[in-house]
Amino acid sequence: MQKRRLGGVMVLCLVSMLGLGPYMPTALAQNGATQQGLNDSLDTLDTVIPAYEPSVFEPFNEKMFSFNIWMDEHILRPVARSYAGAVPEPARLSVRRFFDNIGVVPRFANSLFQLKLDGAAREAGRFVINSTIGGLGFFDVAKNQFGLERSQEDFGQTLGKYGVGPGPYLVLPFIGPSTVRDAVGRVADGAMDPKTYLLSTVEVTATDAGTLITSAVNERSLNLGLFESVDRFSLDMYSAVQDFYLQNRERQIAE
Amino acid sequence: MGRTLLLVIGLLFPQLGWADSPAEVTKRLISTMQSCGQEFGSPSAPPQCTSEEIEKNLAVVQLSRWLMGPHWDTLGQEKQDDFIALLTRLLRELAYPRASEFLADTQFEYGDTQLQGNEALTEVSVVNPDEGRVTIGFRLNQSEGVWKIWDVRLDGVSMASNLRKQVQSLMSKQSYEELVERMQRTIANAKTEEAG
Repeated sequence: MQKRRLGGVMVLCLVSMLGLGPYMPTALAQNGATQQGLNDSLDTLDTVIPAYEPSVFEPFNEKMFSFNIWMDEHILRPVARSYAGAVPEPARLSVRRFFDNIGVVPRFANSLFQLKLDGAAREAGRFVINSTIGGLGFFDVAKNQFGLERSQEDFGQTLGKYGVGPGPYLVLPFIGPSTVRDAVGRVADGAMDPKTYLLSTVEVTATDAGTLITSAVNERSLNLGLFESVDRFSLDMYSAVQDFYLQNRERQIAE
Repeated sequence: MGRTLLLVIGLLFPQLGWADSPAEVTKRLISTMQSCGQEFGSPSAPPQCTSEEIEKNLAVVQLSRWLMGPHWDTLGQEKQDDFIALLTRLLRELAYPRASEFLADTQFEYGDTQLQGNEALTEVSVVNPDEGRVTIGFRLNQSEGVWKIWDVRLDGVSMASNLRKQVQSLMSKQSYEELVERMQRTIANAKTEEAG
């Protein structure tokens, strides 16, 4: 059982998002308003900042970062561009909502783990509504008609909430920016997928691969211009992405 | 007697009486950017739409020093001045046009301002049809009685910190010359895009 679960999780880790999610500035806005305070911003103009300290995985990270960029440039983006030409945007947005809907279990469970009962209730309500009158999740009736916003919890955040530090920064092949804590969290989230326990390893692998490749291509097709602008307008893309990721995770955990 | 005293205090410490508050500085910047739109940098831009007008509200010198951190003092006066000039150009070519575009048709809700010593945070909210409510935090620093903006935080993510990380990384792994070259390349990219 353990082996089967790990097989599913590995595929999930390898294929899911293909490095997209953490780069996306739009993800910053998904949770709606956040209250920021001076107290939570440690740096001021008077702060004496220490010299740059690279992650212990820096040589590995830089190679993986280049690899992910190469994969995106040569495989994901061309496929996503063709897909975007064939499938109109409203349909692609529906596909995004569908995948979002089937990923309810980790969000629900992690809301509970963090004692965010409101978030857990919203996730449960959203799943019931969108899976039925939302046509299997292709339409977000729960949000549009009932005002039920999606929660955005994962196991990395749960660990962070209970005081586990992020650990060194880590760039994973296909997945993109992470930390040691978030990589562990990703494995735990994958293990929460019910089908991991119901299907054989081969079935889980095939299903996950198909689902996640489609999801990644669909997501990339909705953000075709993203990397180009980050690449063109950052001084050092690697550290820009690293900092966005770490700041964003810190904010998510603080919420 | 009271009036005379007030006059003397006012003359000696003008910042006490007439300096704009952090919220006013933020509103002025947003309003200028909204009204100027794409006119920034164009030869026919009205006086209130020049880059210099925007820079009155920004703490570019202090920001330059902060971005460089421990490397600042090792640069020497000439390179420090060059870096400030380059950062100013980077902001002009990259930040103002994009910010103006983003702010053009946006409705803002101004939130509270938090003060802590010579630091302030003014929050504004933007409601985007696709992304919901986005909170933008303007960080200000008071120097010689004048509040100036030095950071913009989009939903908690600090743009200045992000730039600092890039600068620090390049300074540690590469060199000041490489940093300057990258800044010039980025400015050139922005100009190319604008021209295209």
